[in-house]
Amino acid sequence: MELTVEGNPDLEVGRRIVFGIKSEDVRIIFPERIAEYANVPNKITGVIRKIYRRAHFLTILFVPNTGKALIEVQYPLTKANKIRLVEGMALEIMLKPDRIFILH
Amino acid sequence: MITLKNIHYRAGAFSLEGINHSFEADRFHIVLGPSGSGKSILLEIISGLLAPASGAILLDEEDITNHLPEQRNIGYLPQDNVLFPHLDVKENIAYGLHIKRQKDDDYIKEIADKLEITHLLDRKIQKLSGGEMQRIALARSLVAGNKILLLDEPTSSLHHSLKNELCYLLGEIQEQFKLTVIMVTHDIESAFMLGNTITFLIDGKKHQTFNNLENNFVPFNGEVAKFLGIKNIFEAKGQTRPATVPH
Repeated sequence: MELTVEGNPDLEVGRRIVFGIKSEDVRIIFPERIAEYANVPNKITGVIRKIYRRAHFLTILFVPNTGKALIEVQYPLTKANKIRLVEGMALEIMLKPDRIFILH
Repeated sequence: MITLKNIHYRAGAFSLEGINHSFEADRFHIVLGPSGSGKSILLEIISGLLAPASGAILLDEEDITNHLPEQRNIGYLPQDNVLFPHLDVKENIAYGLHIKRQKDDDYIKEIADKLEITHLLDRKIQKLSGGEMQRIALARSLVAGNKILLLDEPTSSLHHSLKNELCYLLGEIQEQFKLTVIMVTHDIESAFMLGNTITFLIDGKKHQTFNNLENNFVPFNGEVAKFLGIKNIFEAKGQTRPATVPH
């Protein structure tokens, strides 16, 4: 899996890094809007493994089709109420390059 | 401004290690970290209840490291809201003036009005809720005229709506009285709600200070990310463009 990271001068070629992204900075790309995201980096396809309903948002556990990572997505309940997200659903997400941070 | 210079403190296996930090005047500062990270010890050192093993505490330019607590003009509200059980509410608040050898009923009334506790002034302490006791402890510190206020986990025992109310009140009080507030907490929500600055203290070490007026908080290291509960942490290897995440 390849990712683009913006605005991290500390990132060196060949260096192993630990990076992260907050769950609220992971974007869900809905099927009807895939064309808009055609040239956007850091798209990951996968499946919703679990959905937890919280007070004002959903916590979605997302499993990419490639790799072993489990990605947590926070999604506002107001938006989630307009669409139907279910466990097992195939989905595409995007990690915003300017929201990825490198840990020291 | 309160400046901590290389503060060390040891208690059994726990230690505060070389804390250097400046708390600017007239701001709301948060020290955020998990339980047992040394937050309360740090407040007790600033208030003068504990002496550091080494290092110095400066209030503006003055070294107050060896000053007694009552000489520092710093208000301190511990976690358990120590009020005098044999005194009523008004007498508890007036104790702040008693220390200063003053008596001013009008000022007590003014502060009580601001904190919306006027109706409680004649009550016994035993009849009060936790939230009311916090307001009275706050009033006692305010009438004493302290411009620096140390708060130890004021929201920890409150349920969600009371916590929000107290946060609104603390924010207003800080602005209105132009206080320098240092509040320690493990409550991430109230920290980001109130803090002009947020300093992470984890395992006795200062990890990061964040100016909360910036839009996007980014954790500096794994300890801070873990404390904040950020789950999306991965390893990767840097390439020219793009980076590769190992499978």
